[in-house]
Amino acid sequence: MTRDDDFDAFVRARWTTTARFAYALTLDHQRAEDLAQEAFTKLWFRWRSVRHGSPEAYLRKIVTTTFLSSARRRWRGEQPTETLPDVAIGSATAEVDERLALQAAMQRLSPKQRVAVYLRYSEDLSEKTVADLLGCSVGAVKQHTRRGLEALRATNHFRSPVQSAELAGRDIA
Amino acid sequence: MTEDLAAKLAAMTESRPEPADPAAPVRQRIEQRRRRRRSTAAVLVAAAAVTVAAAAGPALDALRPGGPEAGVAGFAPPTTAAPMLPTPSVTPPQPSSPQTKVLPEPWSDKEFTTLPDANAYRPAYYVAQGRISTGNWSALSLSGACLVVEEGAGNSFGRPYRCYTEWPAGRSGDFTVTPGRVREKSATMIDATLVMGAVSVEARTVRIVAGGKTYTTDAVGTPTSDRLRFFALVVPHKNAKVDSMTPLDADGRPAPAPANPPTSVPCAGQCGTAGAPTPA
Repeated sequence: MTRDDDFDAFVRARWTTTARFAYALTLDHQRAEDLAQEAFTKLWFRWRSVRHGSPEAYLRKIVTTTFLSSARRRWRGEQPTETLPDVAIGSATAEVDERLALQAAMQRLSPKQRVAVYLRYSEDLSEKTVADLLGCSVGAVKQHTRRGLEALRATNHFRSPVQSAELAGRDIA
Repeated sequence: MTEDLAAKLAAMTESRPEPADPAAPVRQRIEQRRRRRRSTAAVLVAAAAVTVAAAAGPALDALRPGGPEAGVAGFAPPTTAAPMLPTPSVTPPQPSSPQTKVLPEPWSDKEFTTLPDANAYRPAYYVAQGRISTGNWSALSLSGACLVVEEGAGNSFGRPYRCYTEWPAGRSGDFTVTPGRVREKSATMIDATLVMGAVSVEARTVRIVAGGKTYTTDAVGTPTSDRLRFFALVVPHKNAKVDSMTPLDADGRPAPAPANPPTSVPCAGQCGTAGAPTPA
């Protein structure tokens, strides 16, 4: 298997996970796809040195740093809004409401809080690993996670469909 | 809340459009980036080469001994492009060595340093510069009371080279007329004539009547000679007839002939011809 074949196989195997992570950070399908492709592209230029090590960890690091770098730029700065501008129309199921409510709540988190919350609770990574990814201390990760969860609690009860629907900007008749 | 947060995060991220082959767009991006890196590297290499070439001139000058090797009057200066090694300066200065006396204005000690030609003419100082339709030209004063015209690829005047060492008694100035011409089939046609020459150090300007019109240009002193000044200008029209050349002093009166003009020395056939030494 050549280096390129090897890499292509890795991309196909890790695409879904990486794209989900990217979506959790960007909360936008197009930006998530762009971020994932960018991360894989950057990985290719280091593929020779990381392929026999832990390319998944390196890829996660690239996604995180690329996202944080883009979030620091003014022109890519996110503009949190009170309600989601692109609320799905016609879906009245509680599941969709919960998803939209969580998405709205995640959008209110800072980029680092979003990374910390997702990696800690979705990918179940240790605080030390997340600290390495974010380039900060374990204490800072704890703080990002705690504040992120507090923000989610404050804005996202998603216990009842009505509350979730209200948060998503929709009324349930 | 944290118990089911993982499930909710998973639900939030699972409904995404999946590309058929995610490796394809990634591969495309990689190719784009490789191409961009290659062009950036090429630009950087070119810029580095230009920088090195620009820095090499002054660096080579710094390696030279204090007194640059002078050409002997009537002979073309050395044409080697190799940097000269310092040698002990035990020989007495040659008559044609650059002098240190600074003449009154117009004066030019701006040295010609464009490599590799500068190695052939060393030392050479700008007398006049201009631009014609085929490119820039520069008249350079060399050791041995010589003038040479440097041109671009157009070579419209054929890089004339002339040493002004023939001074019959009473001659106030000497000059050379070189019409623009097509030396090669690929050369661009030019409708202009080059006039260059030497006058006494008392002169400040030179008045030239050519093609029925009067032109005035500076008589420029350079470090190559304390006995002559030089001038060069381009007048319109090919084969323009030069009716007169009059050196004028600071008061606008006709300047006298050189009091102690340089004399000719045995020459290998290049003196006084309109053929420039071929730079290395």
